[in-house]
Amino acid sequence: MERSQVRDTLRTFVLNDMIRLPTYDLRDDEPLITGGLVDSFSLALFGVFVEERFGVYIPDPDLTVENLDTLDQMVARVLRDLA
Amino acid sequence: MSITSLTFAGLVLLTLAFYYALPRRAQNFLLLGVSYAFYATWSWWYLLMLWALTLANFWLAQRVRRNGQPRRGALWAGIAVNVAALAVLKYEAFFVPGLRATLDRIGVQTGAGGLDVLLPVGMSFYIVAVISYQADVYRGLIAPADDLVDFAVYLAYFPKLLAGPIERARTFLPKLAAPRVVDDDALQRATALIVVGAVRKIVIADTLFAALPSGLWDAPRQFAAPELAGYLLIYAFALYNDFAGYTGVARGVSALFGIELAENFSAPYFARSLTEFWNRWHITLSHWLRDYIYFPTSRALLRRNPRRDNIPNLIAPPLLTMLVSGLWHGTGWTMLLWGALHGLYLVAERALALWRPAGPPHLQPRWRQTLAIGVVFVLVLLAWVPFRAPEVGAARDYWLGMLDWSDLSRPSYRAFIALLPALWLDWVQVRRGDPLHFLRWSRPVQAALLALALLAVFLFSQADLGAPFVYQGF
Repeated sequence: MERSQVRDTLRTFVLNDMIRLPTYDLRDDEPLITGGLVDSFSLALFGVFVEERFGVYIPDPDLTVENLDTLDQMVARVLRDLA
Repeated sequence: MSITSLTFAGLVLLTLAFYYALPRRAQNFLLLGVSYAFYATWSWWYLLMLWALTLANFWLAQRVRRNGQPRRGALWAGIAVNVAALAVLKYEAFFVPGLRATLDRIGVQTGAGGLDVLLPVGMSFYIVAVISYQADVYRGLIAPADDLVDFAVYLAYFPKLLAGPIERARTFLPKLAAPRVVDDDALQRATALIVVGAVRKIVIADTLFAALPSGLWDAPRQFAAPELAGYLLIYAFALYNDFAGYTGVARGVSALFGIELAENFSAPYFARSLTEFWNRWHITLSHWLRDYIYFPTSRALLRRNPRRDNIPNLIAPPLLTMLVSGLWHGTGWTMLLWGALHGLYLVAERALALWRPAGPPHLQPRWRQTLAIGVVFVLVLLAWVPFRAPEVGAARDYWLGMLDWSDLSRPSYRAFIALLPALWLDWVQVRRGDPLHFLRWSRPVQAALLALALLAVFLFSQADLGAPFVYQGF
């Protein structure tokens, strides 16, 4: 799967289901959790989404701010396991 | 030995005198020896228990993942050993009276105190740390430790042994394998952490605890509503500064040894939501609960039904997580009530967000953020009542007492003075994003501030208010 496809899919999910502001102008490197856009508990939603959409399982202790604070990091994490 | 005592300061300085003259491996041996000596000053029994659990967990983790393969049975055995040890020692007040009555009924004489056991101080902290280690080994996130000394230091490391922060093995063990360098900046930050921690504990927390009258929690109806509200405010700041003070000293001391410990507090009373509060209060425990209770529960439920508004998805993860938090904090129904209350707060917050999405808090108008801080603070404050009350009836009386405004007696204004430095410290953190922002101020201002802080610590320590750290009791 292309990087751009993964990015678009994740961007749509983050805006609609995590931030819940579909019109928000999210930068790829914008901090989601440390920037206060979402709380770290909502990473459970992200974990289940990438499991079902991409077949990528991210262990619970890896659903962290350090690993998944930006859209760039999320895309990289999914692509790492898709490779 | 308290970590704010001069004896402890002497122990740290003596250890440092040898520490940096040693190679890395010998440094770990030294840390282990000092940690065990420190723990033995509390009790030999505590030390024996720690040794037993260290050996058991080291051995079990080797079996949790063998030849690269995870073994579920070994994982559950590892978790069971740790939970059982904690349950037996921590929750004996729950089950020993019933057990004693049963044994008496069948003719087995237990005698007075015959079944009493003593919870080792700090055990609740190292048990959750080691459970996360077993789980991470199972998931392949960390290899089982092959060095018993390093693993033993992970559990026993004396700055964090009594009350955390709760470190993860996969971030802590690599620090023990790396050379330790403490440059001028690190030394300055370590000293600042220790000084601020001592101010929080000795100047702020002990003073605030001393302002609380006896009988407040046992018989709250003796007090007027303004007194109950005022003393609850004082208790909230005393508890926070007590624990944040401990953490500051622990992190500062550890930084002197070139080992950085995790942050545990980030101005929690400035949180704009309950979720944000739990990302700011006792952060290492909150994140442990999130990773090992909330996420597995939430993900399991979301896989069955991905809708956020599905009732089990909405209710079960936060409620279960906070009930476990209550159980971790202590025995008795009061802690369960405290946990349930926070669980329900989180459920309500999520339900409201579904009904009316508000967007990220920092994008809200300033007035709305301020209002949210006030609402969250009041809810947290009300929940501290069962956290501290000796029994549920006393908590109920405290809450009811705050509704009866027929008597307007109030605490002395002097009791609130110690709140000012506490608020200032947090305000600096909220405004500047760094709890040690004052290290960027000019040298003369820093020197004056340091002199003032040390003088205050000295004078207040002479008053000998010295209450033990609350969280050591957990």
